[in-house]
Amino acid sequence: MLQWIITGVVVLICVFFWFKKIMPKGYNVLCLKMAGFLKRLGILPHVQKRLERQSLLRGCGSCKSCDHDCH
Amino acid sequence: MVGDVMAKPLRIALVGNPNCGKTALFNQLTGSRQKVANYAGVTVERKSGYLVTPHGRKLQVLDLPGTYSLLATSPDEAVTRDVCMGRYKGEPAPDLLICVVAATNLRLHLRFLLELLQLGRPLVVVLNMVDVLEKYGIRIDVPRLQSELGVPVVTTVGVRNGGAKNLITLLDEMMPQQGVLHLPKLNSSVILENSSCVHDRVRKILETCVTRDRPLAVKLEDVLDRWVLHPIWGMIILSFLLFIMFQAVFSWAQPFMDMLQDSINRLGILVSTLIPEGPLRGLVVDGVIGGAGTVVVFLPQILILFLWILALEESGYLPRAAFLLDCFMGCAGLGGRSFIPLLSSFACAVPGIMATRTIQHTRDRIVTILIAPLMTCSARLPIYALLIGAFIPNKSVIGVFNLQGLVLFVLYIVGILSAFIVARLLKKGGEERFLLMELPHYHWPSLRNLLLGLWQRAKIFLSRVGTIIVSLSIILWALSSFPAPPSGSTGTALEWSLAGRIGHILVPIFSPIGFNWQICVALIVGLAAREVAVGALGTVYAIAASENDISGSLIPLLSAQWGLATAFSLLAWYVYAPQCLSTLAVIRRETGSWRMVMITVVYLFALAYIAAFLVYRITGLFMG
Repeated sequence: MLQWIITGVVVLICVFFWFKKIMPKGYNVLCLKMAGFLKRLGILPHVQKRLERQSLLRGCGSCKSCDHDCH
Repeated sequence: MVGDVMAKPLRIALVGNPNCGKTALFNQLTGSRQKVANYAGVTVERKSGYLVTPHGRKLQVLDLPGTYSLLATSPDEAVTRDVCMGRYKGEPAPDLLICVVAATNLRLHLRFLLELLQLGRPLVVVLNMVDVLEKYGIRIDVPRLQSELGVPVVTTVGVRNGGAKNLITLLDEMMPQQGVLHLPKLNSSVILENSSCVHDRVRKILETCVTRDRPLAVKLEDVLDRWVLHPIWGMIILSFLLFIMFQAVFSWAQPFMDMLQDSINRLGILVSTLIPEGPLRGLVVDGVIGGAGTVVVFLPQILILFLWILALEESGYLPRAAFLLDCFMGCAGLGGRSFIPLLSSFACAVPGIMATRTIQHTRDRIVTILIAPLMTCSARLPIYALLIGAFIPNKSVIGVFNLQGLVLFVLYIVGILSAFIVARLLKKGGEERFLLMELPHYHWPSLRNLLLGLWQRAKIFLSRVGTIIVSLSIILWALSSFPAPPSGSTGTALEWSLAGRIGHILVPIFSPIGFNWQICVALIVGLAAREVAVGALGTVYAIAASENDISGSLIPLLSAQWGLATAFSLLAWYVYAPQCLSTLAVIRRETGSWRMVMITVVYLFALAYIAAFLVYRITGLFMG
């Protein structure tokens, strides 16, 4: 069971990594919605804050001098 | 000292002619490791860093693209002009301009300095490369030069550790903690009316401040140039250098690659024994080690390729190669300024496309951007090396040349010729351009710089493996492992998986060019970056090997399962296919148009499909 949970989390992190690269704006919205969901449930406050911070990031993070207009 | 550091630091900008050592000084001042090379046009955008002086003053340092004049003729020169004049994206003008001039070429560099003086902004002159003055028998009277120009002059050696000490001391003394910078008032004699005044003024400064210990003699450099720039001997030298480079990529790297492959195999076995049977073991062994491990093996080949490129860059040979190839560039309808961007594209198309900012004419720039992805970037090397290693025997031709190196050389040549043909077609009817470029002095490549350059390339490669390739390998492993096959089903689990199903859907499109469903899967994930396809093949075949209880690396698996026609077809595909999201993103950014991205994608995929189809059919005919 533990193997399944670790595997699932690792795969999800990779999916999020690519989602941010391919659709940075969609990623921001998703992070904001997930943070709101956690807030409503009142659980994982650290994850919630992290997601809120992520929702404010601009660009895919691949290049630092693109003025965030690469996508 | 940190407490003394101001919230809003004063801004200084390094400006000057191309290849005078601005970026080397910038790296010395800020501790950055921006790319430096012995040719003009390496820096094409404004870069920023911070310097904290020994007295705790914090300064923002800007490194600007080199230019010969404030009358900008290309996008990179426009950046320098705009920053100097305080017009850059709402930024105020820098508090201090630092004009870097090469002490070995004052005749040329003083002209831009005099132009800058006319702006009337606070300015300091940095006389760089003073270490080589003695070699050329030149003596410069620095105090006299200072009084002639009416601004402070300091000497530096940008490429030596501590070589910017004089400049840092001067900045520490003259920069105020805050407020406006006050410098000696400009000497009115430097206010010039037109270009003939500039020439007269330069001549006068040279007469009064520069003396030669010995008359100009024929230098070794001139003798070398007679051979290197000779239309026939020069081409033979260039071909020989490139040929040896590709031979070295295979011959020198093999022992290191075998060592890495062996270590990765051992790691796989070790992890298999440590993690109990289950999905996590599959993810680590088949996904991470099978995928990313397959790509890491090619690190030695990439480093050897870059060792050659860096050595040629440092030596000053590359601009000479540009001069030599100018007639070929002319045949393709391109100007000599396209050479450096195309050359940079051999490392990676992204800096190559950015380097097109040095091209003055818009049409030339667009054509260069469109053909840059055809230059064989280092990301293609793992694919080429994998397929060549699997299908081309490692034997010598006429007792001298390695056959694998020869095939790699041919692949590079095919890329270059294709780029020239495409450029010729796109530039049909366009006017011819003339090449005017400054040839730098020859240098022995510094071992430190070479090692530093290789270290940076290794870091870039490994960080790509650690992020892009590992993450995609894991996603592909999940897609290749789930859903599990229904009970009583026939066929392998891989074929029932999501990746297997997607691969089978794509097979009708790619079967005319000989690709099986495993290659189709690798092509999809390989859209992100070319070398990802190698990792993807590694993951897919690792899962298949686990199912069939086969162990071993990817090369013997491929040579056993693919035909020669399929391998050649895939090689032809990768000569053209624009499988790199970063390249497409940078084309969008540089052209400001999605239309250009679409044109690039459509024409390159069409070329890739046609080339792969022809190669597959022709090889099939010969092989029966």
